[in-house]
Amino acid sequence: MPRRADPAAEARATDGTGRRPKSRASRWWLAATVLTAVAAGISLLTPVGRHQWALSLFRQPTPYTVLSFTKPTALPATAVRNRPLRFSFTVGNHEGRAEDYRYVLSASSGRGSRVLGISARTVTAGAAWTVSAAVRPACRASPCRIQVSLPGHRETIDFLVSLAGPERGGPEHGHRPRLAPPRPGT
Amino acid sequence: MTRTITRVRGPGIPPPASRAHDWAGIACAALIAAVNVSVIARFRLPFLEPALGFWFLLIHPAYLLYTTSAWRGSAAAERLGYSLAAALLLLMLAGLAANTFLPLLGVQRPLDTIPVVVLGDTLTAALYLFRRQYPARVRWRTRLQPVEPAESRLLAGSGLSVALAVLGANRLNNGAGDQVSLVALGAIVITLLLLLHARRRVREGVIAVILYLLSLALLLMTSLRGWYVTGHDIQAEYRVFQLTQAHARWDISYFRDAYNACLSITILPTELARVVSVDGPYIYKVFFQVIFAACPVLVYAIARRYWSRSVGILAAVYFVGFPTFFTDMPFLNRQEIAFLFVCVAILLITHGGWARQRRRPALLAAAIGIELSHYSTMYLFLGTLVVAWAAQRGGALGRRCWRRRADGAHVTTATWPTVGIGSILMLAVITVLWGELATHTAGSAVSDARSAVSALAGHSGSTRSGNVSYGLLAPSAESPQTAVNAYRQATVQQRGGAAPPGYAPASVLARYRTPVVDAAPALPLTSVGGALTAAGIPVDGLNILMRQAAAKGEQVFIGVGLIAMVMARRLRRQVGQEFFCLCVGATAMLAIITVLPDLSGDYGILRAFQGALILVAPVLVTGSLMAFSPLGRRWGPRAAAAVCVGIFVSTTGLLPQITGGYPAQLSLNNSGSYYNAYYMHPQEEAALGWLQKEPGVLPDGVQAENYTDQFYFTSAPDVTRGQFLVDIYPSLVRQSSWLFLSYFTTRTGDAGVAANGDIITYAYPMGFLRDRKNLVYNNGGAEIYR
Repeated sequence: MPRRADPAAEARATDGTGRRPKSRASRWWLAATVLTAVAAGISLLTPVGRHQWALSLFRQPTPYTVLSFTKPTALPATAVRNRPLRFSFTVGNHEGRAEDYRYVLSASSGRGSRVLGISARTVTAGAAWTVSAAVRPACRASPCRIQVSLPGHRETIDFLVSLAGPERGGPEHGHRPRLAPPRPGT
Repeated sequence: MTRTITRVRGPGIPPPASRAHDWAGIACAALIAAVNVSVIARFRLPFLEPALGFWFLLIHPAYLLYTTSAWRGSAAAERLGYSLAAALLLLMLAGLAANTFLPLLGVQRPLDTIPVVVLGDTLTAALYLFRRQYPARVRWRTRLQPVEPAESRLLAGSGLSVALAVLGANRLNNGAGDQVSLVALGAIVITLLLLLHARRRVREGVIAVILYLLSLALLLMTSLRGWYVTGHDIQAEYRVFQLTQAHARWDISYFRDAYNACLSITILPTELARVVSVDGPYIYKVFFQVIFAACPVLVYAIARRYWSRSVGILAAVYFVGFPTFFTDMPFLNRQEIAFLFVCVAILLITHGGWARQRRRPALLAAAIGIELSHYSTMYLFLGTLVVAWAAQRGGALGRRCWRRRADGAHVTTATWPTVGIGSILMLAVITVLWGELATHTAGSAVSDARSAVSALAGHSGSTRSGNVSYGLLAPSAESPQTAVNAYRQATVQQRGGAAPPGYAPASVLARYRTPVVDAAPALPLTSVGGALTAAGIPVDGLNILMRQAAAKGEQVFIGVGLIAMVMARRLRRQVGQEFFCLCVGATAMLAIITVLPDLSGDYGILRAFQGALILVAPVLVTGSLMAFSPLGRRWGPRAAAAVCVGIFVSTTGLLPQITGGYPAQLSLNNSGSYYNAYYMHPQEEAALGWLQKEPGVLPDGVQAENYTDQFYFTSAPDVTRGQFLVDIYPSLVRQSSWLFLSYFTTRTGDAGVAANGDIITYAYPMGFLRDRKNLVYNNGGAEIYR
């Protein structure tokens, strides 16, 4: 059962006027509070300190890049070798600053890969770069994977097409890019 | 109800609303008017409007109830529990009534902002009139007397813990370290130690406030992880909340599911969201935790019914120190509200100052609250009462030994048992009325009951949750790889055979294995852990040993406590037969869930243990005191307290985080199994946003590990469950579906599958996806295939 407070101890704890004298402990508490407040104030004066406070108080943006096909449901599933294949994709910059993007279009199959097109552009923070591309898939085997990658970034996207038409010989590696020039979008 | 409420106003007693207190009423009226204006005009004042809105809809009604004579003869913490639960029940029932009747009057959006504000005003006015009729003499001046130095230190420590918990969670969300969260945990532990040391000098009300703040700190450390909806069940809870909010109306036919039948996660959050004006996820992340943090205070109040302050505090520490409290409860919002009602129900059942005629209707009201809040908590509560009633009826001990109370008083109407066959039948009727007749969502419970009966008869082929390994008499749980293999077989059957159209044929699947991987390896040893290891203390094994010892030790203590209650006359008379039988009932239900495989998987043994602790936490403490009694009257209690705090230090993650060598916890790390499975990253949110804008997403279906729920209600009237598959396991992947790869899978190549209530991680065969689908979206943290 709880013990009741000792009235004698209560009386000893007061200074006779009914007010409690400031104990040593309460002075320590006051000093600790003031010191903490001063330390917090000083920390706000330095950039590192401000950054640490910002990390604790506010949400910080997460930088990332988005790579996506503009019409994913309309991607071609079949193509004829060396005939233009049209599709579009978007590069979105959420890195929080202007970014230089370079994309590479490539085609690959079980027998190797070849580069189909390259282009580059600076995209401002929050903006997107939409590219309408027309490539001539030249895989030696079917199905052929058309890939968009951003060197220097981990993002890639791709789609598979079944190829029809006569196969043209030669290794896929080391070919010069054979491409229809990409049409920059907005 | 009104017959039993005492009118305290009479000769010699001044009316409570004296002129000296008019200013408080005027200030409240002004604040209510301000809330009305700001909510309807959508001022959206940060921090102030959410705080005022919450005060308007819940705190003030609870305060009005607190200051009525309805709860006379109850301690402060108990009154708080009754008032809070009554306010919550009123909000759910009033919301349901508005939802039902306002459309008949032409209001098609009965849970929109204006109807909810009017509902809040009406509720406030009604409660104000009720309080005028039945006021209580609450001596605020006595209660708010100057805070003693010891109390101020403890209050400062607990308040600091809350602030540090919030800051620590923000830091982790921003990718920074765990330092502030660790300091928060340290502050919690120090405050608890100081509280135990100064328990005799601290008033009951202050103890309640300290326990509340410490519990809130623990809850917020987990609930505030992530900027979006983070957690397991909370994903579906959030979706049904959004469904109700979007339609400004609750209708079970929008989505006939047991989740949607819980008014605690449909009508209640919608009402709150209308007046607090915060982002949807923060209704659960903050406001539900603010409500649920009262639960440990009620556990303390239950323990204080029969035991001393120190036992009450230790009982509350065992309750909040159980891992489920701070790792899972913030993701089980419907159960949080239901647990509050369970606490209140226990307090009502054991209220010695009330006659049985008053306790039973009150129990009925609490049971309605449980049923409306969470179906399976109601089933468990009902089961507990049935076992308790059976134990009471058929108790081998006979009634003579229970007949006298500790104070020697003879049995009166107040000591007659509350739980009888009539009240049990009434509770069963409530369960059937709501679960079956009103919402038709009790199907899973019926199938669980069937499989439980089948398992009892020894005909079950189901497997148990891995968590049963923590059980004292643990039945064997299958290995993770066996569970994944069984899952593969089950999915092949589920999709309709070896080669159904739209799926990969079995011959293709056979080429892609899904080996189990350890996705949550132990944290590397810290410098402290390294030093301990160098000193010959195996830190890895020590942490695991401590957890196992804590889990099994708690069960041993409960057993010892129950035996002590039977054997020791003093304890027997102190506690009374009904409470003892309720403890037996809770323990029996826990044993049933542990033993029966389907229940251990579907309901979760750890959740069941958390629920049982509401009742048996003080029994656990009693058991530990008995176990350490050979150490003497001085050192025995100290050893019991040291073990309790030691378990708390281990289970909350403070010790493993300081030493390393144990799997990471979500509240302290940006790694670990929960982080991998449930933490939502901005890239995932962006990917979902992109997907939602794509045409034709719903007809084709979406597959994901955890995020399929996001698409339930994009076009609610057109949605059927057949359009969704809640997994990306290879045998379930459809050719035409949109498949969402989470941050975890994108970065590691592993994926998780939920089997028997556990998350099992396996290496995802990425080649399977590459061969069959197009990768149409990629942001480095989420990928979408089609």
